[in-house]
Amino acid sequence: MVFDIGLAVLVVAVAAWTIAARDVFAAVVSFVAYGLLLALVWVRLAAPDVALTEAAIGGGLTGGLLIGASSRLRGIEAPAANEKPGRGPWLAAALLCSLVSIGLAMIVPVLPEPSPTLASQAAANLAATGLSNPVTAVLMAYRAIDTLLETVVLLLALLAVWSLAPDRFWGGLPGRRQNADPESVLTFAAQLLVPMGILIGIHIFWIGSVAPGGEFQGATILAAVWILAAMAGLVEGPPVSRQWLRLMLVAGPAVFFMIGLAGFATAGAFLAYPEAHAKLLILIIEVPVTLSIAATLALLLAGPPERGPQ
Amino acid sequence: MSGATVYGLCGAALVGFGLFGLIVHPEPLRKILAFNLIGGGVFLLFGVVARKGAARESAYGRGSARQRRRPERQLVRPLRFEPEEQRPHGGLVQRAHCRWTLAAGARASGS
Repeated sequence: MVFDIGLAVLVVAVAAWTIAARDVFAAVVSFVAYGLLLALVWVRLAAPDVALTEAAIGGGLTGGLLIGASSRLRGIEAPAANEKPGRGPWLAAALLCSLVSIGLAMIVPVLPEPSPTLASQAAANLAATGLSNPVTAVLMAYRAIDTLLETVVLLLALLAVWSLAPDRFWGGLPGRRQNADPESVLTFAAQLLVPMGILIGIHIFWIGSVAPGGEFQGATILAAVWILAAMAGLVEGPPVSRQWLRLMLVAGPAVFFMIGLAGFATAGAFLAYPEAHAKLLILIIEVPVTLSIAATLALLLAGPPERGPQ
Repeated sequence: MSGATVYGLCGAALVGFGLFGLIVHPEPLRKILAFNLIGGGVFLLFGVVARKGAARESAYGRGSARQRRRPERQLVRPLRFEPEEQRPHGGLVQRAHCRWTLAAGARASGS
């Protein structure tokens, strides 16, 4: 309980610092810390799957994207920073936001307890999916359509990033050239961590059927490993015009969609699985989806093509 | 006051700070950060609501500390928890809750 209160206070304090920090970069760093602390909160709420996702995507991936954005925006945002609101609007905003917080805080203690839940139904139908992690069952079976749409959204985000590339670099290498010193600590750490990271990523993906984990979390780790290797200059990103790369990016959503369509014939509905083969089908979906998500996230972080094809 | 309630209050505070940042910061990136704070807070509130419903039957067979002290109950009826039907005071929060308990916040993967 003391730990819970301390953690909650810390999360709120870091969030307040994210808002109050003068420097954009400091705010971004504080936001990453906030993401990691929030992951701890999710562990305390007995939601390890959410914690994994929050740490990997909320803290790590979003943090990387935001740090990149803050360094690019440094010059552009300076004029906007002078348009701070005056004292009156500032106080009005503070009052309004306090009221919203107090209103929400007053609801929390009077939430019905225990309140109705679908968890029992989720658990009751678990056997039909062949999985033993109910969260994965929700993501891959009961609400598979949401997961399908998420994979498509990621792809659209990557298209949006790529479309920022100047014409002369189209189809070129993503991101700027990394001039890493081959003798540096970074290179050594990358050589040491990459094999372990790949192993952990595959493990987190594979364990998802029985324990907290799954394709999004595993794919994020794989993407992070690739980014680390790229930053250390160990690997060079493939030009975005490569056929195999594009196939890899669409393979996940495409396989997902095709198995979903096959559900019409085999089980009578879109994204329905015949009971005897549910786990096999989910696995067939998950492998290419993991690869696609890993590639998409890595390329999202790498940014639009900034060098011509070599 | 339980741990879930503490984090519920924490979520409420996060929403307030995020909203404040969204209003007073002129820079787009700061606004995005603030918006993400709101998202974290709202999501935390959903998680707390789900926790209050699902605390009795832990998805992975381990529950809260209070639950672990009563093993006989877990062993006899591990996954059989019927919510009382037709709660008269169930409004928006409860309906939202029904959706969110099942996922137990699993939708975080979309964020």
